[in-house]
Amino acid sequence: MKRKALLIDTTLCVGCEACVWACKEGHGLSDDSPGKRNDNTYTTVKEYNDIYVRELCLNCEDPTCAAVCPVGAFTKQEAGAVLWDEKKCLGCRYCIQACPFHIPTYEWSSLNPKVVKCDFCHDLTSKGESTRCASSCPTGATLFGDRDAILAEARRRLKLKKGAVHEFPVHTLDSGDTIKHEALGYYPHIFGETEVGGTDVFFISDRDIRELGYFNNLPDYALRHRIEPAMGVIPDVIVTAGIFFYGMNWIINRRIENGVEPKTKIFGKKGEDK
Amino acid sequence: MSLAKELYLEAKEIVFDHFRTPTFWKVIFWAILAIGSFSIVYRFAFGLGASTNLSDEFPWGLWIGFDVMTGVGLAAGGFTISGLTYIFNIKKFRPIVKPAILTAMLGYILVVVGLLVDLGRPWYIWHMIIYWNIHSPLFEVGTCVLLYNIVLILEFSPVVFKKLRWSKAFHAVKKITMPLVILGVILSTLHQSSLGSLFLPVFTQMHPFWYSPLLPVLFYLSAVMTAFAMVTVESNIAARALRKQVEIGVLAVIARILVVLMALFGVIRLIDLYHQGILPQIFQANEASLYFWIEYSFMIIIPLILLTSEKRRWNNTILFYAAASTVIGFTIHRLNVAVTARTLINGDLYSPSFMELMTSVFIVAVGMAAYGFISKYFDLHDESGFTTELEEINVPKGGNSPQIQMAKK
Repeated sequence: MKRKALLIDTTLCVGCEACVWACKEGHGLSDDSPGKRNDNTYTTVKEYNDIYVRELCLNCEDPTCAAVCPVGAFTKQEAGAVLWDEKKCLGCRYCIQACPFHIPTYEWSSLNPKVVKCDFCHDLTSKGESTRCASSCPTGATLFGDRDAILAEARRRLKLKKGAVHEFPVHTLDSGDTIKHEALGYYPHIFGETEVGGTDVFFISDRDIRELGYFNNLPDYALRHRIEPAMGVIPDVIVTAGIFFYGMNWIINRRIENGVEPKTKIFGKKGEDK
Repeated sequence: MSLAKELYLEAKEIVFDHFRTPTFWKVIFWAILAIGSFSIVYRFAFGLGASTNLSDEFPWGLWIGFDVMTGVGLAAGGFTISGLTYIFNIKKFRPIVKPAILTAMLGYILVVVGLLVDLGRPWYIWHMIIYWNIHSPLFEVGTCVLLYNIVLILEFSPVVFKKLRWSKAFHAVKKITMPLVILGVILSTLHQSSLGSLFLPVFTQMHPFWYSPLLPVLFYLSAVMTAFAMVTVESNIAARALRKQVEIGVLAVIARILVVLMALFGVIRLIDLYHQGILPQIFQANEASLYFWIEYSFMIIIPLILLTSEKRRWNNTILFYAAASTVIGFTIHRLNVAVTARTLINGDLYSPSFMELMTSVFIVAVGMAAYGFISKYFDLHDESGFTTELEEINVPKGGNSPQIQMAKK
């Protein structure tokens, strides 16, 4: 199975929220009106002045949530989904704290709370089928396909001439359906290609999407690499500290036994010791 | 009279003594106990959403920032004092080693209690034992805290065995004192620093004053430093409660260690800011630098000024206030890392709810009450420490231990 990905082209998005409703229906969520993402809404369309940007789990290639979860409840699937395992989670919420995109949400009102987020429609993508949001998108603003092919499509679009009319595939890369649209011109950056080690959801836009909200200052390596230097020395600390403290104890006790060191006057004010 | 009945009567006597004379502070304590237990019951009956101000934008609040991150730090006295006493064989610290171990044991048990309240599914806390993610700092903290809890209980157990007159168990634990203490020091070193590592992947959401790649080192150093301040504070409180003299000779030595560690931490904190290129920013007038200076003054500047003179280090009042200042500053530091650093970046998303606050206060109060009871019931101030031979243990018959007689006076 090839790794799948989504391309979200904000220049094509008209803000119709078809993706939001298809997601809610497909996942059996209640149909109350979506304000922000929560345990009932896995994806939303956010309006920034004149453009619409979808919010959904970016399904990172090397996910921070999976790196920090103490019980390893998050796993990256072959098709691309980052899934949460209800059977393991103990509710520490480190994933919510650490996600650089603020994606996982919590069932705060529940007595047996779940971590909820977009699951990349794993029931479909694991069979090679398109996610519900891409299948329902009427303009091709959310497009599904193999990850390398989607990246190639994104690179093709960045080079499109501004103002000329081009063909854009709809739903999936190989669906055969296309719409004709005037290219608005693109800012030369594919968001998600390198951010935090790469994601399986890419954003392209007519402006620098990193300036919207909290997408700024992300490194191009997985955030797991920030923890590893500290975690990697733990075995070393155990071994060296063990030898050091046993050794110190041995030396000091020998010196006291041999009368080299005074038995009590190691610290203390002059003349204060008994 | 059987031993069991004797022990029971003695415990009953201490508890009854507590209720016999209600004072202002005792009434406050009972009120905290009532409101706190109500908050905890409410949290388990109606969920985290109803009882806390936590949200998807701010999933870790006071319970993690204070109950866990500050609590673990304040309980560091257990491993520092036992390490100095047993590994480095500094006999001077013998009188305070058992109180320090007791504080640490109670502290760590209460950290687990705080964690159980905070976890969304506390009944799955044992999953940490069977599902391992060895790359997660939180797994590291959880495992070490669990193991260290066992170590602390074993380190304290001779006191209990002595009281129960279980000579075999007493000598069995006594034999493994040194491995236990060394294991305790290693486990503490690991999880005290890993508490800082928790924030390493979150750097995009933290104000740079409180994020640093050195966070594990800073957390370890600040915990070791505050351990000595905490020992000073609790020695004073315990002496007042038990109507005993403070061990000023020991505390003055501890104050000297504290001065060195505070100078070290204070300088490393500034060097770290310098290497991140943001040292000049602490002199700008804004909210972040205000928080920084409050923290830095309480934690470093005030106690350092108070404790640099030999004469002042032998003055118990000054010692107490200087150490208390360090403890307060340390608490502010941990809360700044856990809470303020995030709110400064993401906007004012969080302030603790009344129930969150009362739960934390409840946990502190329970810890102090448990300390009070145990220090009256068990013999903590036996200077011979772990090395006490059983022959020396002659509990007076009739359940009238010296502690009780003292409490009666």
